Amino acid sequence: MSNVIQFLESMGKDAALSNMSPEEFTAAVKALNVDDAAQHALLSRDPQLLNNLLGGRMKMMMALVPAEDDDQGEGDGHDDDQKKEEEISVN
Amino acid sequence: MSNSESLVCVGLGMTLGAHISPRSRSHIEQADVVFAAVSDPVVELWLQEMHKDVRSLQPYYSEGKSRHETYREMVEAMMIEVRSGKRVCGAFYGHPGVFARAPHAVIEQARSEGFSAHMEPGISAEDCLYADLGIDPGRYGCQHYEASQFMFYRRQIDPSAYLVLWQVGIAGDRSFRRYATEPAYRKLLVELLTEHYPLDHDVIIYEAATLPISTPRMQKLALSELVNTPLYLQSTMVLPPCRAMQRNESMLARIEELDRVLNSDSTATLTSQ
Repeated sequence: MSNVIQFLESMGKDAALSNMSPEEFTAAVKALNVDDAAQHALLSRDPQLLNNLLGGRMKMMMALVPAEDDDQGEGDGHDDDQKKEEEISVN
Repeated sequence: MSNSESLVCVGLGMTLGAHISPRSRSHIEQADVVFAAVSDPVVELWLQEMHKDVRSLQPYYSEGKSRHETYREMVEAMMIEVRSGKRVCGAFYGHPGVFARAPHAVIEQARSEGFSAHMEPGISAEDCLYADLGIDPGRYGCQHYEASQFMFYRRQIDPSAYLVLWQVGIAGDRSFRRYATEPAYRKLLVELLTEHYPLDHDVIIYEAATLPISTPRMQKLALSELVNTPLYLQSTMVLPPCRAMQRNESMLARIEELDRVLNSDSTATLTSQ
């Protein structure tokens, strides 16, 4: 496990680490065996910067539920698009 | 995961490292293949360090593609591995069964095909919301709706209870293809809500922390300000009650009468003994 992710996991699950003072947090990060860029990302608490360094996805989708089932409702955007295309072809 | 179990959907909780249950972690580690739908790219990297074969479900999403189709493809991707005899684990952020279509659907599909499948709960965004905002849903009651569904259907709103609207960043999306809706749609939502709440009613935009170095978003604003407030897929709107609970006097009178009858019956029984 990478040192950065291991550190985050420890922060997540350890009551003492999750409640570190700013000084304790800085000391804990500086004690990590990670490069300056990773230290900077952690100290600035910047998830985007951290993700860029770790090579994670640039974009995450997190919608897991639709407003209604696909057999509900009077129509969806696809039908609307089709109707628009038909109107255009008629005109 | 037992050797005979084909599929389990587990929740990772909301915050990396903080919320995953020992049993969920064990299911991930003992699976043959893990499918992942998580809320933060760093969480996905963390999951990849728990198992050598973690397959992200992110590629099934695409702007302009119906999310109904996305969810069907997620289910099919997992079912292909279940049918091939592998022990499959679906790892979802939060609770796999709360505001999540694919985990319920894949479990139902697996069972219908004769496979053993079950769900392990996780700590959901709703759970974090109660803790971070200091809300007890039992105090006044609490209604939850997906924001678009709330707009599409007539609901009975009780303004003396909390109202929580999920996925408010895509409120009003009838196409299920967008990942943000314009302020004009939110204006309609505000209009709908003003049937029950004043425009200056304080509401809260909430987003749970996904990393231990982050803090949750807990932004208070007037309902009227919702239209021009930046919202994302993970944004949730909380409307505290705007009215005191109304006592149901007729029901209270009936309960009182019942108490009186039962008490007199028990007194009579005691007297006759």
